[in-house]
This record gives sequence, structure tokens and C-alpha cells, in this order.
Amino acid sequence: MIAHFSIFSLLMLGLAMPGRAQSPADLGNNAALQYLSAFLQLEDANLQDADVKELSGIIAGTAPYDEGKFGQLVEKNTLAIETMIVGTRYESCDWGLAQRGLGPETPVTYFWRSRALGRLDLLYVLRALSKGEQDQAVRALAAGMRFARHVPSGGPLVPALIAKSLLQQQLSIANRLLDSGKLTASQKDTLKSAVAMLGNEGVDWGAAVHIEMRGLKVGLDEVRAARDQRQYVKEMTGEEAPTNFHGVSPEDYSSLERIAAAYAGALKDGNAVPVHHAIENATALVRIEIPNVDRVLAARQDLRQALEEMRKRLER
Amino acid sequence: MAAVLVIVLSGALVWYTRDHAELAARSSDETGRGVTLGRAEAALAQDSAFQNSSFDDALDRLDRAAWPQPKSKPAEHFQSALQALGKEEL
Repeated sequence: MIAHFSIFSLLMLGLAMPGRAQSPADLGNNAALQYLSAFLQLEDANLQDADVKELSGIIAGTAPYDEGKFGQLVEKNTLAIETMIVGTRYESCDWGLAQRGLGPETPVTYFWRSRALGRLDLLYVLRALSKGEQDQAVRALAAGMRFARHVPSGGPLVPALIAKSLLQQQLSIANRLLDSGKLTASQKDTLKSAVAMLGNEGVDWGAAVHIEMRGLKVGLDEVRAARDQRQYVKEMTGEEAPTNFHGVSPEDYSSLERIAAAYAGALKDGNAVPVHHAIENATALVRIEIPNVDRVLAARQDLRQALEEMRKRLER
Repeated sequence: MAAVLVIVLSGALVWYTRDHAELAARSSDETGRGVTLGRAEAALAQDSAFQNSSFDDALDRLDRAAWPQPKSKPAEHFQSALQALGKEEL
């Protein structure tokens, strides 16, 4: 409850900060407000280990939906899912990270709440399908895609990867629906609009990497300002600083700048070599903070391909 | 009479201390103190540096720290549904 409250208060505080371009009338149009309300409505349940495995199979499409085991979980969370669906009607989504200055101490519990809520929506879709409520299922599936599009807004790579994973699962269910041959023209249009909204990439990887690098730069600033820099690195990252680390230096900043430029280039031309080169020549402190560029490019390619296949199927 | 009073007061003190200690521990968990931007970024970078580890492993590990821990540990064969839904193998 306190965590929920703190996320909510954080967002409200962020939105209320002076200097924001939003007018009071715009504040209610922020989808994140609805999503944060949905997180407050989430209700947990205890699952046996075997049920967790079954749940995994249901989402992956290898097992049928089991109303006896999961009906109550979906039922208890229907209100949260409906609140999420309301949020997806808005164009803008601001989780308020920038208002916190992207410092390493910024709480980001919403990353994981988003992941669970997105997966609950998938269960909701499968439950509706099992009950023959296809309109309801398509509506929730399309909303889930719009929600996944909002998850990475203004955030670094972690929420971008969460969104990628959600979108791939949603597209897999959309494929199953298309395979069934039972979709009406109007239901196909609903899916088509949701997929069109995602564009070619589904996730703005360039924006996510830009925020990631900005966050790392703020992290360097904060380490530099700390009384015990080594201790601060450990507190903020949960990991020991490199053994040869004796304090943040100008070379740390220039290493990070070179990597950020190379990363941005790799996302444009797909060439990861300059990033590897920049990392090899970076300081030890910066080197350990950089996510693997090959995996980021692979994640982008996987999603891009899944979206392209779906678009082609929906156009047939 | 005095002995009874001492026992009652001691019991109340134990109850108060235990209850407030639990509350403090739970509050600390629920504020998501362990899941910050700095830790998320570090986990992603460090996991992806290893050949046999993936971004998904990092997300799963952080996921475990993101949910409030129950006051009493549930039986081992039970898991939180929301936490299970957050895991990548789903």
C-alpha cells in the first residue's frame, strides 16, 4: 500500500512541479494516472508451483486456459484491467521519471507492476475467448498493445524490454486468433488499428537508450558528489566499484559520451562495432554500466519482425 | 497483584515492539527501496555482460525485489500470482 501510495504521490508531485508545460486541463489526460490507479487495484493470490507452470503454458499457447484455477485471479483483477483500458485511450503517458532528474535513487516500481498488469490482461483476453466473448477479448488485446506502447514512455531500457516482451506475447495471441479464422471484419480492424499505432518498431529504442545514457550521466554526477564515492557506487548499483576506481574523473564522462554517440549510431545503422570499440576504450566504471548492444539490437529485430508479420497477416 | 501487572506490561511491551518492528520492515519493503533506477540499470548491464545470462534474467531478479514480501512466509509450494505473472518464463 505504501509502495502504491509512494508511486502515486511521486507522479502527482512530478506533475505539480513548476516549469512544466502542461496546463491543469492536460493533467487528467496523462495515461499514467489511470495505470497507477490500476496498480492500486491489483489483487494478489497464492498459486501452487504446478499452477505457475500451467500459467506459463497458457500464456505461451501450449496449454488451454483453465477457468477453475485462474478464473478467480482474473475476476479479482478485472477492475484493475478495466482501469488500465481507460488509460490506453489517452495519447500521452508520462511516468514522471524526468521530474526526478533520472537519478539512481529514483524508485521505479512501476516497471514491474506494468509487467504483471500486462500479463493479467493477457489472461483476461484468454478467459474471454474461452467463454466465447470474442469482442471482449479483441478489445482487451488491442488495449494491451496500447498499454505496452506506453510502458517505455520517458524511461530507459528496462521498461522498453518489458514492453517488447509484452508485445510479443500479445502478437502471439493475435496470431492464434487469426489462425482460428473466426475474427469478424470489425475485430480485425480493431487489431489493425492497434498494430498500426505501434509503427515499425513498437518501441522507441533510440529514446530508451538516450534516457539510459542520461541516467548514467546523472549517476556519475551523484557519485562524484558523494563523500565516499566507492560506497555510493555500491549503494546505488548493488555492486562493488571496480578495484582500480579512485573517484569519478573527466575521462569517465568522455567515455560515456563516446559510448552514447556510438550506441545512437548503432540504432540507426545496425552496426554495433563502434559501440564495442568505445566500450573497450572506456574507463572501468563506465564499462560495467553499459547494456549489451548486440542484445538490444537483437531484441529490436525480434519485435520488428513479429510486427511486420502481423501487419502482413492483417492486410490479407 | 504487582507480579500480574509486570507480566501484563511485559507482554504488552513485547507485542508492541514486535508489531512495530514488522511494520517497519514491511514499510521498507513496500517503498520498493531495493528497486531503483540505478539498480535496474546496473542489473541490466551486468547480466548482459555474461554470455549465458540475458536481459530477461536481470528483469526476473529485479522483479523479485519489486514486490512487497509477505509478513509471514507462505508455504514453499505457494507463490504470489502477481509475482509469477511478472516472471519472464511466462
